[in-house]
Amino acid sequence: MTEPELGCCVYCVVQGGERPSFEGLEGVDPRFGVDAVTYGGLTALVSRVRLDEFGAEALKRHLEDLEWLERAARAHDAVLARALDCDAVVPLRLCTIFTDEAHVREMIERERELLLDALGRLRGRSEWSVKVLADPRGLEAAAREHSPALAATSAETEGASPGRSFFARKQLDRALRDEARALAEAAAEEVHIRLEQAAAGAKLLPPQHPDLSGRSGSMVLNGAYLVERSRAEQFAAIVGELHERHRRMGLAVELSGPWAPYNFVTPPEAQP
Amino acid sequence: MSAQGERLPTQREVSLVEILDRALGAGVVITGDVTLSLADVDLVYLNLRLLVSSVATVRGELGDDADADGLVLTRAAGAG
Repeated sequence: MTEPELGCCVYCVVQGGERPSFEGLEGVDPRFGVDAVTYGGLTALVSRVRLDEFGAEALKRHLEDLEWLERAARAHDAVLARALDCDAVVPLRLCTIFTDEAHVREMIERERELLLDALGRLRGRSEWSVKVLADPRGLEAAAREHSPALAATSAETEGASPGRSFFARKQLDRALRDEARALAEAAAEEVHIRLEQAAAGAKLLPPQHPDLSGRSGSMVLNGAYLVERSRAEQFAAIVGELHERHRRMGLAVELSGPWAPYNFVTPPEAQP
Repeated sequence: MSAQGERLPTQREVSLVEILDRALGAGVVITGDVTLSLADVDLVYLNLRLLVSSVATVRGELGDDADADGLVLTRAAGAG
């Protein structure tokens, strides 16, 4: 039997002097551990992968296998989470694969300017994710409270005749939904603006589809924030305050992180 | 921060979509010699949406959105 051909998966790039501990870390291909390739003052965290599984064709097939993809994505993120021990880390997209270490060194050389620029901007900073989730029932109750006109119509509808009441109720439902949406949007904007002030960078991501997030309620804000590590606790406290303030209207403000700064590798002016 | 790299207790179980949003949807795109182009990754992401939705459909957990995701399939298949 011939040995399967191997490739080299790159996870991220850190400063050349940095050495996060790779102990116990599995690569996206669990047969291999994580290693470092250093060239010209920059270090790429890499691991070997079997090309019969991670080659272009096989990879395309595997990425559509949810179990396979989940394992690979979690392994990728585990390496990135460990790399947060470094001063700065530039995350690469999942499964960026080269034929060998010589090609990784070539890439470091070729992308040197971009990498150094990103490392400079990301030093001492991590990414945090803040989401606002809306519970429709709580929001509609808040909308009723917020708008006296709606509350009055609501009371009127109760006493109307069955025929009138049907249309009145439909109209009221629509008005309530509109008011609820407006309330949620205003709250999401308020949350984002407040967090943007507390962060070194902010980016709005598309809300996650409820089927994918596995969460009930609709996501009205999916924000990524680049935060100084020394200010992470203050940032979390602000998120806590915002959550308390909006909880009564059926909104939950949630924090997750720290993440490697996936969403902040390109300079702000290049972001949409 | 207590331990770096550790998620907050409230979010210890980070959902797959949260990770994919970042590992597939963000991060610097550098073309490897072996790997996918950016367009391929986006295609995969669309297919994934479909896959997860169809699993949900089978379980009967999905309502009116099934048709919308059917459109995603058509687009993804056309692009591939």
